[in-house]
Amino acid sequence: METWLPGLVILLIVMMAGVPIAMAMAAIGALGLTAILGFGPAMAIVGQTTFDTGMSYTLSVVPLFVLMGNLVTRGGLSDELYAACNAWLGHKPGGLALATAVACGGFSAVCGSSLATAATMGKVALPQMRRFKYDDSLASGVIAAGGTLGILIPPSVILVLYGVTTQQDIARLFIAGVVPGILGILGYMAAVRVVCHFHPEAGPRGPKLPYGERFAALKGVIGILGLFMLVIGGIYLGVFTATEAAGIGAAGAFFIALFRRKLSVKILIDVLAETAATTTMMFMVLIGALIFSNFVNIAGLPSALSDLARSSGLPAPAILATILVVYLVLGMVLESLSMVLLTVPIFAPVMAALGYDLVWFGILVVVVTEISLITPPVGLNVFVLKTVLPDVPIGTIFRGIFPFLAADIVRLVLIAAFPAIVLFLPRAMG
Amino acid sequence: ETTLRVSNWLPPSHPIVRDILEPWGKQVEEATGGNVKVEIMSSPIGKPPAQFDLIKSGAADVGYGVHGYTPGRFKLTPIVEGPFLSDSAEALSVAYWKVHEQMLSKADEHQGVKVLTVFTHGPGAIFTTSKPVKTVADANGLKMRIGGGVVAQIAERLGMVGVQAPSPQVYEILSNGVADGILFPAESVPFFRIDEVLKYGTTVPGGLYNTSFFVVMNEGTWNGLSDKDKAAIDKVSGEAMARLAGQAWDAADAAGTKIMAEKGLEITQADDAMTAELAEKLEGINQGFLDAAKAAGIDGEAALEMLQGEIAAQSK
Amino acid sequence: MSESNNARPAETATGRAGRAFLGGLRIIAGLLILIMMAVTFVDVIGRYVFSSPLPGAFELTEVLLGLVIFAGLPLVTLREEHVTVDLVTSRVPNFIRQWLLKFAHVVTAAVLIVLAWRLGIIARDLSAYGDATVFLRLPLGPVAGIMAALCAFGAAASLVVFFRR
Ligand code: NA
Ligand code: NA
Repeated sequence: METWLPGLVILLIVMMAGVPIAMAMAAIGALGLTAILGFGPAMAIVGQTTFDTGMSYTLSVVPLFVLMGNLVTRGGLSDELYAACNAWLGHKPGGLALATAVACGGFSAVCGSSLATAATMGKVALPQMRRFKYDDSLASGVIAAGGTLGILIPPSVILVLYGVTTQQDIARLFIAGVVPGILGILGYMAAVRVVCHFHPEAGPRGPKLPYGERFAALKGVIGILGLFMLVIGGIYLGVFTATEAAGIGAAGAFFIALFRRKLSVKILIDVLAETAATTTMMFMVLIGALIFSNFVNIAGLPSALSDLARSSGLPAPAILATILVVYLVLGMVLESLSMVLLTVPIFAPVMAALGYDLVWFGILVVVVTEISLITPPVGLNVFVLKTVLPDVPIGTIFRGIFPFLAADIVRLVLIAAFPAIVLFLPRAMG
Repeated sequence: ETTLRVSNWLPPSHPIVRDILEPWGKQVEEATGGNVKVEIMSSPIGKPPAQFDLIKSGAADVGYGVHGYTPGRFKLTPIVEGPFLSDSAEALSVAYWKVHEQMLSKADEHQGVKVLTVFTHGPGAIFTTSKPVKTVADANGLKMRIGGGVVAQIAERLGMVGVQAPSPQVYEILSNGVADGILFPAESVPFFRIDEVLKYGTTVPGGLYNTSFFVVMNEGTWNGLSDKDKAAIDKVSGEAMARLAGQAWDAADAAGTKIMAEKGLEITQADDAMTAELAEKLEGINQGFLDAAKAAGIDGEAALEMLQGEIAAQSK
Repeated sequence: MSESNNARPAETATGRAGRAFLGGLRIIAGLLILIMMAVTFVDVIGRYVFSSPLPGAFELTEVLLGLVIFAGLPLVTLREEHVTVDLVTSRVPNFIRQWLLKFAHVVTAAVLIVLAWRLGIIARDLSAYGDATVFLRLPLGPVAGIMAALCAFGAAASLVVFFRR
């Protein structure tokens, strides 16, 4: 019953032919389900998946953080943030891209979703980098990659789902994500420096400003910093949940924009409608991905892979390496949430049986999931950026990803080889 | 040879999967002489509230779920969701199955599927993070994470403020103080890792509330089985499976209670004064069931009486 | 020439009605997002300041999200804004690209028709069962029904684009 193999091949062909990704995945998924289960049951799953995905509380963070980003941008805060970043970092090669990597990390600390991080930072940082004549590849690459930190630096929707699936402590998982997340920022900054070393024109230096002007520019960051503090502080002090933080952050951005007199009724409607359109685009992809995931799940792809890992007779590190490679391959074509939901119940017991720490494995899963968000052909962060940057060919964005992908692979190998990188913090907390 | 695919929305380590569905699957395989195999799916094919419909439509052969997730649909299952029923999930589950089979099934609320069994979890209790609940007044105004159905009515009558959150967020809302506590059976506390954030537990004799579960099979799948296989499956389902499920919950509750004790949770049982006060506040909580039974042409009083009698018989 | 002139008034009328419809939908989708934000805000403020959270904020959010996604669908489809891999399509000769685009819209229409149909069946079933949300008892049948209708408009939009191309 290996229908998943032709299913994957046909999916790739249909997507390459220019059929919208959401529709391609939904169509092939539905056909595959019909081939296995028959028409009636397949259609029942398709309908239920569509309805359930729409009616999901946990996923409500996505539109609300997109809205927050849109409002921050319309409120003029992003312009000032980048003016400040430019003041401090702009004179370095690729300075704004460096600042973007840091800002992505900062935003990830208030957002549990990589897609929302990429969407928000795309709205905030891309116009600025374009204004400063940054290469589109570099600019979109650093945001797509930086955005992936959203699910690694706490809070994280994926870590919550992983924790519940594998019965690991979510607080420990969150703490475990901090150091790998900072490593991620440093890796992306290194990638920017390397690109700008070989292609200085990709990230032009700006003028060097005296310190007086630099500190003056910091005033422009107060609004955004306050908003971040509201969201971070609210979550960590327990005033609201990470899901609620999305609504509070959006409301905060709304009041700031209102206070600054940047919102007319027309602008507000534009911002809201734009957010709704982005929401539709993202969720249609999610619905398609979940229908397709149901198909490959029922077609037995996950268990086929797990059998392969188990029956190989290889030593534990080799099985780990194999599983990570499997994740990287799966991650090329699968949507991240469904990939985690599909594979973790299968691979986590294998890892536990081999004596590996499941908190550490959870972080590895998140890092490979991050990578999956930016690898072609299905790289959701790239698609999100594409919605912000409609005039840039998707190939250009994927080209810009490569240096960051290299940084990610280095980080993955480091974390796999030295579990202490992940585990010392949660162990220190006892 | 047939393979029954079981739709599963819980992790493999959950008692429902590990201690109910898996052993049942083995029993089915043995009872049918290997004719019928049972395969538990590793990923969910739909959200928990959709399970009944998914099984009915044949998306999987067998599935389980909570009646209270679709409250408008199952109006008789609240019979086992009220307070003071039993300290033993086994006694309550077996009694529930018998009442279901003899009386409640006449209403045909599970139309379009073969009901393999119905069961309940262990006695529901009150768990809090910062102050113990020793009287009914202590419960007043507490922000509690609760499920829907009868338990929501119970919480409301006790003056609790309901906080809604999906189960993956239970840890978060308790650890950061969005909720003051939770209504859960003992098993669920360590399962959701909230033994680390909870400090106090108050159990109620017979339980403060309970939850009704179903296990059902697609009708087409059932009709496609040979009479011999049907008989074999019936033998290990129904009462036998309700007993299996109840025993699994009792064992899981005992394990949960032990872990909580090790973690230093202060767990007390409601004293006579509090129990009496609870009984007074929760007077007539069965009215919803009685009305629904009447509408379905079932003698609700008799059903409640039979349930009590069977619980007593099982508890001996 | 005269034919197209004759056809014109009718076309403009439908065009105008269509534009008004889409414009209205755009505003409604935006308002739904605004309400989603307000629901969380009022819930949290209510919980801390008045120690009474907004009852059923959780369920409202779910219903609002479900409606937003499908309210945006006709417009996103009409504007051809669905996320697409253009690695190949941006590199082939124009006439092939036109055919590929036609194919893409047929697939989109087919998928959205199926989704609308299945959501319609879910709406029918939920209504028949009287299913409602757990706390607020919001009836789920009509919610699914609106989702189905919006999805059908999305399918119609993809057919409009198909014939426009
Ligand atoms: Na995050
Ligand atoms: Na990918």
